[in-house]
Amino acid sequence: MFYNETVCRKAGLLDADGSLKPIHGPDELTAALRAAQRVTGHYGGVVAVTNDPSTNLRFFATLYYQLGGTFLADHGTKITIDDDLAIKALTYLRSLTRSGLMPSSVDPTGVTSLFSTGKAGFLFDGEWQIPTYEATSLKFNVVPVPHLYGPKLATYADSHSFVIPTNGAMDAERRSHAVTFIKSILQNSRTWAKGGHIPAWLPVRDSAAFKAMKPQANYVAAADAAQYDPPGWYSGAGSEFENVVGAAIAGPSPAPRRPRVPCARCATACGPTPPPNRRWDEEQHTWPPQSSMTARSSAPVRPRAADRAAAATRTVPAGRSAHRSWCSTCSS
Amino acid sequence: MLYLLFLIGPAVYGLVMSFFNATSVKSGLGEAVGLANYRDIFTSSDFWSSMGHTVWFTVLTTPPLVILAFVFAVLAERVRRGKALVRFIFFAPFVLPVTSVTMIFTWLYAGQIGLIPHWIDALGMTPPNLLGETKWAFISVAALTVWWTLGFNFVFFLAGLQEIPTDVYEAAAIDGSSPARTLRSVTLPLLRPTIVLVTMLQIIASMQVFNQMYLMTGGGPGTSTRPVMEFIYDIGFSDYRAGYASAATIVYFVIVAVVSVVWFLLRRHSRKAS
Repeated sequence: MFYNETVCRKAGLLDADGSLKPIHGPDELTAALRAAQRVTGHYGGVVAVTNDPSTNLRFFATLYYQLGGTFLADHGTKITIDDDLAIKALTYLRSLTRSGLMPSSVDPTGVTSLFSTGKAGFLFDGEWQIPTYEATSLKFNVVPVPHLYGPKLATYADSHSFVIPTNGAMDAERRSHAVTFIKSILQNSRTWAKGGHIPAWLPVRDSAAFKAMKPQANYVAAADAAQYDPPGWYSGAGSEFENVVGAAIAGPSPAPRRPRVPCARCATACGPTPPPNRRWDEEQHTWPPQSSMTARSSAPVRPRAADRAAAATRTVPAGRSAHRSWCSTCSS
Repeated sequence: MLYLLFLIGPAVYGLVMSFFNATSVKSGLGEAVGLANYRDIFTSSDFWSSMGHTVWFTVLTTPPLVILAFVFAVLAERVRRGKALVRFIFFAPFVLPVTSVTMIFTWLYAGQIGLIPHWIDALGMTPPNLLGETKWAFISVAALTVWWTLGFNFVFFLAGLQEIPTDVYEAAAIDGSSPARTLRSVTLPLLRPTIVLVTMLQIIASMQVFNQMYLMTGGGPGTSTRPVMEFIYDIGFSDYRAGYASAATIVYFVIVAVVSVVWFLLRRHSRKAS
């Protein structure tokens, strides 16, 4: 979390030595944003909403992880989203935009503009944005994201990794060159930290030279609270997982997706007969049985609660056009 | 030879790949899956909704790009002085790279900071969410595209207008034809081949929309403006599913080819009739 020092000082959010007073719980964050809003006259805080699904996911996931939520299990073959926790996180986020404390529609360019010109006191964005704001005259500081929920601080994170692909043909000398190269980069990760990143190599992270780096040294604790994207072949930075989940968080309420199951009318008229007591499988989050192909093509989409309720009390509308708009599987 | 190497070769390889569970992070084609990729594509609501977005974008951009380019070309031809300057003004936006164009329009459209929402606000109205709302996002990107690529069609029409011999106009003037009548009975019929060509090229160009959508909306909000090219890009490059993406490309290619052939046949048919 970035904050504008000038705004926060005027808002009385800083303590005697000029650092941000700790914020605990959603109510304190709302109060801090409101105090900042009074000073800026525009917004309390800002986070990218439009055209930035990764940031949508990161901000949501931070709250959702603090609540103890998970997205996937078994390397991505299973969806484990907890609706109640997700709704709790989303409701809080929605309350921030609905009350006007944060803009409900702003793209990354707008975010930079609002925060750098002092029209927002707080910014929720990645530490890699530090160079962006260092290039301006803004006086800002960066701290770990506030602890809003749960027993332990959690924050969305990703990181950079070095990978040496398995290659039997590589001889020992070349491999040692590669390892030496990686070693030298790690030992010099203070340079990397200038871009905002927390060094992963502990001797650098604990060195006096790094501890003197501001604001980088202020949010080292975030590394211990870091939670990555869940493992899966479609997750990770810039992945479909981030695009799809982020889009669902910021996007318009999606067009009603009806469960892919033939309705009673098509079952007799044009579709396959559904198993007599087909029920939404709560545990697998799918309609059994679904063809393995569709399951693989994308993460299974869970029908909305309303659809599930409708499916439970299924009545077939009379008339051709009414039926067509109601039933997704047949075009009768 | 180069044509073979860079066009036919990859196309054939793509066709082959579409029958395999190929991925872009492993060498080789992977296991053969027959028509499973195609079956997935035909039942994928994501593919068909993105196809719908591309078609909607084409519907939004083609008529203004053809009609406005024609109108401006006719007007530019009538200008007596500074013809070169007028032509340059209409063609100039087309030479801008897509990244510059989208950057300019982001500053025009963006919520909170954009010029257009600011103007609307100054007029005392609530500005619509130009990029963050599906309905408006299509219109915003379509307007950008019209401004940006109009010059290309404009040049076609200019060339077409110059092909028309001046004696036809002289004859019309001697017959006492009004300018409107000359336009309707002389210019339009003689420009017919150009109009047909420009419309066809425009449909094909709009069907290929990717850059401006990707840069302006990222297919958002959600995936509600994601064009089919971005769907293919997401599948092939973010998900590494080269085989599945190839199958989507082939289906998309066939659809564009069918549109072209239907148009061609209609044209031949109407030409025979006249």
